[in-house]
Amino acid sequence: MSRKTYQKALNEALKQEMRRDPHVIVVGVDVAAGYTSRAEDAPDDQEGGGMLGATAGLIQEFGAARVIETPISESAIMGMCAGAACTGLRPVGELMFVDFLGVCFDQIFNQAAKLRYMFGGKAKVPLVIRTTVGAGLNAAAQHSQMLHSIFTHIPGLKVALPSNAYDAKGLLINAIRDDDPVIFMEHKGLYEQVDEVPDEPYAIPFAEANVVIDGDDLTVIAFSKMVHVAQAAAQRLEKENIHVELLDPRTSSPLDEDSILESVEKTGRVVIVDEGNPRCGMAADVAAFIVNKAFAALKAPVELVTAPHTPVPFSPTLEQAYVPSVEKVAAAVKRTMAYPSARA
Amino acid sequence: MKGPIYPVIVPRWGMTMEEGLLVAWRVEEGARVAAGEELLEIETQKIANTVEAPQAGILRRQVGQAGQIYPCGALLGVIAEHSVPEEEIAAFVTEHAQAARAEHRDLSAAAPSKLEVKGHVLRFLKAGEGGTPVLLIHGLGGDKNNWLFVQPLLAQGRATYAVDLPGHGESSKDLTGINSFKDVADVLVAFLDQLAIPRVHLVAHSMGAALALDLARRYADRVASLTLLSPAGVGVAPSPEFISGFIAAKSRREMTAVLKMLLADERQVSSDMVNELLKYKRLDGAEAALRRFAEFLSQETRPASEALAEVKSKVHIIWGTRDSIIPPLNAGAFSSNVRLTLIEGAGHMPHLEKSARTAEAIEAALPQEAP
Repeated sequence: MSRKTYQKALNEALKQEMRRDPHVIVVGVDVAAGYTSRAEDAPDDQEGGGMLGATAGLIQEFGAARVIETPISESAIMGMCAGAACTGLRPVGELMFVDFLGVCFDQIFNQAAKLRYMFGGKAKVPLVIRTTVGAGLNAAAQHSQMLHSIFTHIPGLKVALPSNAYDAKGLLINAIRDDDPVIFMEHKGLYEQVDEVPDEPYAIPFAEANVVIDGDDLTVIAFSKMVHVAQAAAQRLEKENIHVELLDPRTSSPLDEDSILESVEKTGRVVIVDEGNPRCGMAADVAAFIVNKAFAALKAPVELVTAPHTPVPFSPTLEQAYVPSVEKVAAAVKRTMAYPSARA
Repeated sequence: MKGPIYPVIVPRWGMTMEEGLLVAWRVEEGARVAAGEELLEIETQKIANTVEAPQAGILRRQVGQAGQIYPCGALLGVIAEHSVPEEEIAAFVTEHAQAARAEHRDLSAAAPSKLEVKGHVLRFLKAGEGGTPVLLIHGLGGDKNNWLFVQPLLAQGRATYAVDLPGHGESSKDLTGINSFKDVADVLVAFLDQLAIPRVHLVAHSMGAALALDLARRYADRVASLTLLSPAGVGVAPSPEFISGFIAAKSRREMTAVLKMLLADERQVSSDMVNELLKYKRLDGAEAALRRFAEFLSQETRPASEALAEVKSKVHIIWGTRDSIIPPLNAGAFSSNVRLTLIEGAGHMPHLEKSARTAEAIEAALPQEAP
């Protein structure tokens, strides 16, 4: 066991799975970037491996037949991966930003997600699509979206949202071993996050929420980087004697409905924190589920803390205001705790 | 001085612990306490537990205050009889605070090591120096951290080694070449050989006890004494519901339900405990290794008299009175040279549930050595 970054955890998952299973391949733009087979051309400190270094060292160990550089052609990458998956390979396709997945929706929505269903289970598509999500890096409106709710909406896709380095490794290994297409969403703001990560390979099953904090007063459900925002809010509220239970569902599809219900039935008060936009979003989806299944347990309306219904602003000041903050989460928790007396 | 003064300090639970929050005192200043009585609650980022009285006496001082964070080794309280004058207590507080802190840091801040033995990488934590060392062997699904509260206490008098068995903790999960407890015992003996340790006091829990018995029977010259906690292998079969449930448990809910069988007070089953076990069980090969060990365990069906007959060293058995995994036998089940200590109110994990009393019981029966 040692302390590793989210980036290192992802890299270790890819390496260990590629060693274990020769069917695992990596495909994408710059997955071997910076690497050259001519030693005299290689910069001393350059291992290659993508914009954020998650695929560093793969080309050297596994070669160009399994670490495949592509042109910037998203639909070709995804079509190639879906086809390769049907033939028995286990491709891990990479698209640097989730914002670009829009150009290959047909490959993902109509091909990868549908093939197993349409072939009556005779075909399977063990495909992982790695991509980065989230705001906070001043990357502007076309490089900062979450978009996880769009993929959660599609039957046939699974969606993982690791919030820490330990989960990043275990969920990626599980995604690679899964026989269905998985959209694997890495938050750009978490790459430097450090955690205790076992050196050995391990798989975290999907639909197994992590109870980050135990508490009795109120349930906070948060996704991806918002887990850290919610955690900071919970620590602040603890000093005011409000004991929050914090759930990180880890995957939005499938969703660990049992853990959510168990917690809500205990606390009766819920705040959902999500960096996605609010309309038809993840927070609204979970809220509807809770209201439908645990109405009798609720003591207050379910509060949602999300980004507003706008594009992600480029201005640093506005971007900060866009992403749910510790203050907004803490205020929502207090409103919910005070209901009905202090409802604004 | 009219009688001894005992410090109550912030313990170090694991190498990453640097400080602890004193949540609350359980005992009033001036109250009489028994050895092992729960004095106060400490919480860290990873764990919450009670600190028990190291000795019987009067809690003369509450040095630590609830709600404050203190470093490991910091003085929290003082236990002494009424016969000790006030000024001596005051002097003790001033002098001891610094000393206790430095000493405790030296003792257990060591990092675990790894050693390759007969093709298996074993992780172990050494604490303390000198004397005839103690080898701590955990049970099914356990690891070196099961001894977190007990090892620092035993390490005050000698070297102690808490080892992760093959297939467990952070030791390698591949059990190639291991087909019985005999093979595991051989690996442990090879481990001692590599560390150039001629003889040890074996302290083993549950399934580890069955393993330790085999080791003691076949390597009598390597075993100075045998202490068995909640032992398997002495005639009482471990609960099959627990073993199959533990091996099958994949989710937090399943694991929580199983662990409630393990402890006498099920409220002590914390999220951290559940998470740590799930983290272990998710490792590639862990579940397969557990199934193998459960198979070995199911072959240990000899009654107590037979299991202990060929053991030449002293045997001390420690059992929680409320153990529902391996319910305790009474002294009548054992021959007169076996010492039996029952830990009142402990379930299957006396070394976690009643750690101070368990450590004291282990220590009390270890043969004394000339310094």
